Amino acid sequence: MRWGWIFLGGLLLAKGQELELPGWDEDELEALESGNLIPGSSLLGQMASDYLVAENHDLVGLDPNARDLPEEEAAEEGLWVSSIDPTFVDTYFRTRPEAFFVDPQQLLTTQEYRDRESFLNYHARDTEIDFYFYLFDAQQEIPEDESVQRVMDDFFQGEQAVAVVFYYLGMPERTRIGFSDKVKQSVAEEELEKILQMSVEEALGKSDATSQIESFMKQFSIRLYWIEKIVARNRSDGSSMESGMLLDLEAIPDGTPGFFSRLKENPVLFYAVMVCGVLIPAALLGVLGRYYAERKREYIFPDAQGSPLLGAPHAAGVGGVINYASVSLPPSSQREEVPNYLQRI
Amino acid sequence: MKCPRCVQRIHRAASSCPHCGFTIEHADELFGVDDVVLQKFTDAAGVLRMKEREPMRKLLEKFEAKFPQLFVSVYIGAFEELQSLRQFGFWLLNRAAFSDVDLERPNENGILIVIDVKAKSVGITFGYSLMPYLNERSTFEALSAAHPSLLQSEYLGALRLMISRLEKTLKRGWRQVRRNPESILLAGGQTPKPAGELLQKIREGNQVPNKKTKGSAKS
Repeated sequence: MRWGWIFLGGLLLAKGQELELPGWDEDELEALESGNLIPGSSLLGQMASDYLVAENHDLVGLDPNARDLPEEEAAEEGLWVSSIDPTFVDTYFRTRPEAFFVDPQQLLTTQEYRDRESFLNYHARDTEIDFYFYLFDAQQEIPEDESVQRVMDDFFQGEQAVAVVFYYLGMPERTRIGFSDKVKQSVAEEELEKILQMSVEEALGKSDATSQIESFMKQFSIRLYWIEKIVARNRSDGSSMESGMLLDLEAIPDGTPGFFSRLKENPVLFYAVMVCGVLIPAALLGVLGRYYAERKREYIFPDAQGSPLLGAPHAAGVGGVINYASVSLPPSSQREEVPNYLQRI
Repeated sequence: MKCPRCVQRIHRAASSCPHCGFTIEHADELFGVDDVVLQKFTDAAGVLRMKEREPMRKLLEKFEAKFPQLFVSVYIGAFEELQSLRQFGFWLLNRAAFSDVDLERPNENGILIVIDVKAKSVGITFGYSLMPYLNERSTFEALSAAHPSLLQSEYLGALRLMISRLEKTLKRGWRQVRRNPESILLAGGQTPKPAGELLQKIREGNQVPNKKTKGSAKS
């Protein structure tokens, strides 16, 4: 109701402030009546004005030049920067990277860079095969005397197991990978190529360049993890991995390693999950069941008989008597054990 | 086992107290020889509020559901000249017919709590069937548990605590008698009853007073 009054008041106020319609001033009205002023002529231009004044109204042909739109300048060939700025060459190829993610050109935003780097750090903690990711622009070309293998040889060959990836932003299909000898000794070249192929396919499933990097990294990381597990399993079986030995990568589950797989491999985790997930709920259920059963239980005593006491037909069980007259004395001090005839004394 | 008058120990088969000669007749002389019809909860002193009566009733029913042979009765009075709470409890449980107690629960299976709000004292009396499981000490523990509530005149809370403690004692006795029935019953002056005798007892009944009335409880 109150809002109705406010709305009505607003309408009345608006009505009072209504703008007046435009009107002719006298000079313009005279010009109009004399034919010197054509309404709209100022908007339509001289050509429209002449057309209206002219006696014969033939079709007006447009200037053919006006139809020809200026041709768009053809995209300049070589707009993409194909060469790497010399200031970045040293960072890419002459020094050992300090982080797993190498992007000196800052092709990604700071946040994207941090996200990807944190993923690579997580991967490094979780697996033995470290994974260095070099990012280049889509059309950039590696200097002729540089390559993935050379970077690998220069900086990572002494390491346990390393994978190096040269990735081109928005062009996953141009990706090149290199593995240290430790990896190559254990896994066949074909399988390593298959890892690349699967990761590229995964990346191409995304439309934007950043998501492509993310998908590529995830898939590559997963494949590396399973490679590592298979190698470890074969070692424990005593069967040494020979170069070129094919691994059945098709058997590798697609996706992150399952929870139960990790559970089987980690006895501490297994027992923790068993205790938390099974034993504790079972114990709680047991306690609840016992509590419920106790609540519902009926206590039946055996029937018994005895000789009557003091001539009483039903009851001679004389229990305790307590006084509660004093708030200062404890209950034991207020136990009444004195016969009534002594109380009177 | 103690005499309700002289509070001296007596033998389980004593027909009268060897110390003071007390029998049920002496109690009858004090309180009347006729049976008294009562409800299992009687608040003659009027200390419980109306809203406390329903929880009180439920408390007693809950006890009976848990112990299908037993019952608890509560008598709250403001006695002018009650000479002995023990004697009164003893007399009342023997002479009372509880109108709202099942026939399957004779007075032998009853626990009577008597509260004298004037003298500020509480006593417990129990039937023959409960003698193997309850005694003066365990009943006094139940009373002690309720002592703080009694001091604040919170009678419902006090009774709840008393009954709860009595339930625990009875459950303990139930477990013991299951393991070793003979010795537990004998320790309470009882022997296992042959089948059929209980039915006879129930038929005789103690629910309906059939004795000639001479007086009533002096409260």
